Amino acid sequence: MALKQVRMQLGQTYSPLVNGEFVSTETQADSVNPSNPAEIIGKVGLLSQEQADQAIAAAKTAFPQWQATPAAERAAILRRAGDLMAERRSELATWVMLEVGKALKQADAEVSEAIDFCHYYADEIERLDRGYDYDLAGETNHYRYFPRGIAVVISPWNFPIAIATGMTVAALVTGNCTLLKPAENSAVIAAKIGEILIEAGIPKGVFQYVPARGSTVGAHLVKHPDVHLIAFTGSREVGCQIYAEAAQVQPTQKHLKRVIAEMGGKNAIIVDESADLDQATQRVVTSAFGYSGQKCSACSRVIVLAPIYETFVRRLVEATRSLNIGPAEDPSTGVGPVIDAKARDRILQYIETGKAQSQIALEMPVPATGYFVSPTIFIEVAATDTIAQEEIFGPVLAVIKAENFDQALEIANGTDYGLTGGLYSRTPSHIERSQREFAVGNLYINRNITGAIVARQPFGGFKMSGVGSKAGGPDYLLQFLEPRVITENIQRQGFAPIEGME
Amino acid sequence: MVVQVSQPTYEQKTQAIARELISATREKRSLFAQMRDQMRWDDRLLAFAMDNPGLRVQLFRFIDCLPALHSKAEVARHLQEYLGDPSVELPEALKGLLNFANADSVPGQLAATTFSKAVETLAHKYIAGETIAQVIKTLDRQRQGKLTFTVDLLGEAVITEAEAQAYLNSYLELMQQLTEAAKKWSPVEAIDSAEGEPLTKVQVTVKLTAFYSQFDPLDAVGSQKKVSDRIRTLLRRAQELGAAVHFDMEQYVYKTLTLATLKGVLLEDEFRSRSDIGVTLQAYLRDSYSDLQDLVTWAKERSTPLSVRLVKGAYWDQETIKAVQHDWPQPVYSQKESTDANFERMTRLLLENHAHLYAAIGSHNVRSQAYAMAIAETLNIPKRAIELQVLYGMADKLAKAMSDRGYRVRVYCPYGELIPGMAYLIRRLLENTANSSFCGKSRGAPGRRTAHGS
Ligand SMILES: Cc1cc2nc3c(=O)[nH]c(=O)nc-3n(C[C@H](O)[C@H](O)[C@H](O)COP(=O)(O)OP(=O)(O)OC[C@H]3O[C@@H](n4cnc5c(N)ncnc54)[C@H](O)[C@@H]3O)c2cc1C
Repeated sequence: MALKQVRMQLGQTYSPLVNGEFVSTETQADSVNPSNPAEIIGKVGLLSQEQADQAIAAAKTAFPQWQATPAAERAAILRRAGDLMAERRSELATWVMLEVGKALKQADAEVSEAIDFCHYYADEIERLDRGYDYDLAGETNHYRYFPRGIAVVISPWNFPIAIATGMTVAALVTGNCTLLKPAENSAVIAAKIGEILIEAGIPKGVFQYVPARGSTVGAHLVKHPDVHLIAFTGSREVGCQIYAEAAQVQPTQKHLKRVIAEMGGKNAIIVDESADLDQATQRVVTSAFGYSGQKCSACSRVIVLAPIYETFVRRLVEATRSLNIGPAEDPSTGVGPVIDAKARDRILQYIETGKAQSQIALEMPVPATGYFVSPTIFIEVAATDTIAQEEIFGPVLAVIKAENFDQALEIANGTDYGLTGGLYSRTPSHIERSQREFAVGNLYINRNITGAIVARQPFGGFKMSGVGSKAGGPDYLLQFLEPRVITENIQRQGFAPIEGME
Repeated sequence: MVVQVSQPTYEQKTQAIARELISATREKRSLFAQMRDQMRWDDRLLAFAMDNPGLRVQLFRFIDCLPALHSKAEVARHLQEYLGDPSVELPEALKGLLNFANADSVPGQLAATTFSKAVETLAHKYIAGETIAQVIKTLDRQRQGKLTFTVDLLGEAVITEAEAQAYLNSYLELMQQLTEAAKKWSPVEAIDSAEGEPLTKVQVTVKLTAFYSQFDPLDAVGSQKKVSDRIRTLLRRAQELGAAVHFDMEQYVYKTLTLATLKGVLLEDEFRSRSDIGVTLQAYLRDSYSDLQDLVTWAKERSTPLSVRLVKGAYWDQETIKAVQHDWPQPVYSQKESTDANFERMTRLLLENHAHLYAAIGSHNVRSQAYAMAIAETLNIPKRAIELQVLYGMADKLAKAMSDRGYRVRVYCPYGELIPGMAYLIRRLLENTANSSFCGKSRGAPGRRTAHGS
């Protein structure tokens, strides 16, 4: 149903939205279906540097008004946006499925997450807006939060609606004027987010949709002296670059920029001797190969205790072999394509490196059309091997053997990253230790390590996995705000009402 | 034909039958309690679990992970970790056993051995054998006691296509061996015939989702096709050998597709006239009554009867938690009384349609079984069209009492190894130590259920 309707709309042009107007651009890029690259999802107009400057100027003009808009009103717009998404849920999920090659069930879960972000951050701003009061006789002290100014959101293609919506509405609801620069591969879905925000009542200049080349215009936005905040999700390389560039104070710039960056991981699941292997095997497969391993939270290392190593590996390989590989829109598909040719080639390169260093246990034939990579399992991998250290962002799993639980924890912690981690164990003392010693932002015990839910599992890591606190959690909005304290002496001529005394 | 009989008629008779069943099955509870200190460890564990909810949780969690542990020292260490939890108040007897400092010590080893043995014995109460040969011995014994059977292979989750194929092959092998053994069995009138018509001696029970490793209700078309292929193979072979096949019902997500798949296959020319096949419905599901109504209509159209096993449903906690976590409407009733009442409504609908569907009443609840018997006796339902079912080891005395009353009683006999059987074992242990099981009353009527058979 939704598929037919969406298919009829493929190939349209999506222009940037600057100061409330859709502007024409000199360059365009095609966004294609990774399952079938001949199918063009949409043509996306790319913003020039000059247009980017115009957008910043428009944001600057819109800011005073938006800042003065009561938090309750801003929250109401978010809730409307959430409701609109809910109404268009199956259509939006279909766009996600086609544009980034994600299975419908997961695409649908992503739309839910986007809706949850709208409602959760609306509630959160209303909580924060109350601030704190420390009043005493003759003096009031008000602790209040204010927006920072102009926010640039640079969103990834792997959760094209959830993450883009989450970062954008967080910036908006806190009173910042926001520019959304989506990954080119998912710019059509980002345009849909724009449509929804406009329909929900976001004023012009407050939200702007600015698809652009990241390396040039994106970088220009990051360096812009009028930008206060950059919210980024993507690769470690780009994240580190943004962090460094944002730190350089430009001429005319009168503030230091805030960067929130979520950058990926090298996530491990430890399978303990006492694990329920039925569950561990299934959930490792889901965590490693769901959306072809292209989630920041995906499992790319599984650390298995020696007594169960053989048994576990045999079953893991067979279970993975049983997955169907095919286009995302086929309901029987377990593993779909990766995002584009560049990603595919990079992953294949890692697989070659893996073959040189360790032993390949599974590789399967894949469809010829589309950007497919076989789910791949390496065994007898050393903890220091390239494929056990670097983020691959594809369907490649390294199996590492550990002699005991101490060693398992040491291996798990032995990378640059600290995003998600998992433990399958029925040993109470190991479960307890992992809570203290497994250094990750999100630790999942006896369940899959992907699929965090807003508010229930606020999401985000540390070390080289990112800076900033957790999306969908109680500290997230604080990063978009500047607290100020207002102290007023309310005595006049030594006179002031004293509470409790008439 | 739908016969209208007023409810009060059934109610009086139900209560009368229930009273008779209870007096036939009553355990001497006081004696049972006195004997506690002389009991074997497996019985003592169950008794401890019933007395102490905190201990029950930790004990069953420990049992769940026990077969996964690879050495006595590991067993001893886990024993201490689970039962040494501050939430657990230990009976003296257990304290003594757990009082060792080192998992490698002699007392540690002793504790590990004692527990492992006790759990093994416990498992054998509910699992009819580890191998086909062992299960055949059990079936022999059951038949001598005039009880017939269905055999279920305990399996780990099917997550690979090799496992799905192996599951099918195991059943082909099982049916082969059972029908071979059956040739040597002397007929038992009460279970091998009805109204002079011979009945299939061998029945196996399968789980439909285990026939395809990627079974997924969201891929209804693909899943149905894969599963149907394997079911056809199974049903063909069953017919050649002379075995009946019954399908369990699993979690709610699978229900619609399970019923659709079976209805599809059973309407095919090749299988349309088979009356030795059965499906299961779960009365704890809010939509189960309408599923049964649909099935009645469907069976009329098909014109050959099918068996329907009516049970309450084994995954209540799981379904409830899942719905809460996903913010879905609850598929199951939230009150035990609602499930019981629905079970009776469904029993009535099923039995009143005995010309189209054969009824198999699967319950250990005296009241639930008595209600079915009251209807059967009031309506004079032919023997072919009703049987009463229990799970192996869960209600031995009730089974005998029902059989003595002239009913065909079928015992569901699971077999297999302990690790893959753990989910089944834990469900049975939970059911058998639930406080409600012992004093579960239904609308003031006698509802006491038999104590666990020992
Ligand atoms: C021969 C046989 C075959 C079986 N096959 C299957 C099968 O294929 N699939 C399956 O799922 N189960 C099956 N069962 C198990 C069955 O569903 C029950 O778990 C078990 O029999 C206990 O129910 P009871 O009637 O014996 O006992 P009772 O004590 O009368 O009832 C217990 C049952 O009540 C229900 N219940 C408990 N608490 C609540 C509550 N708060 N709200 C609503 N309902 C509640 C649950 O279903 C629970 O199992 C089978 C049982 C038998 C005897």
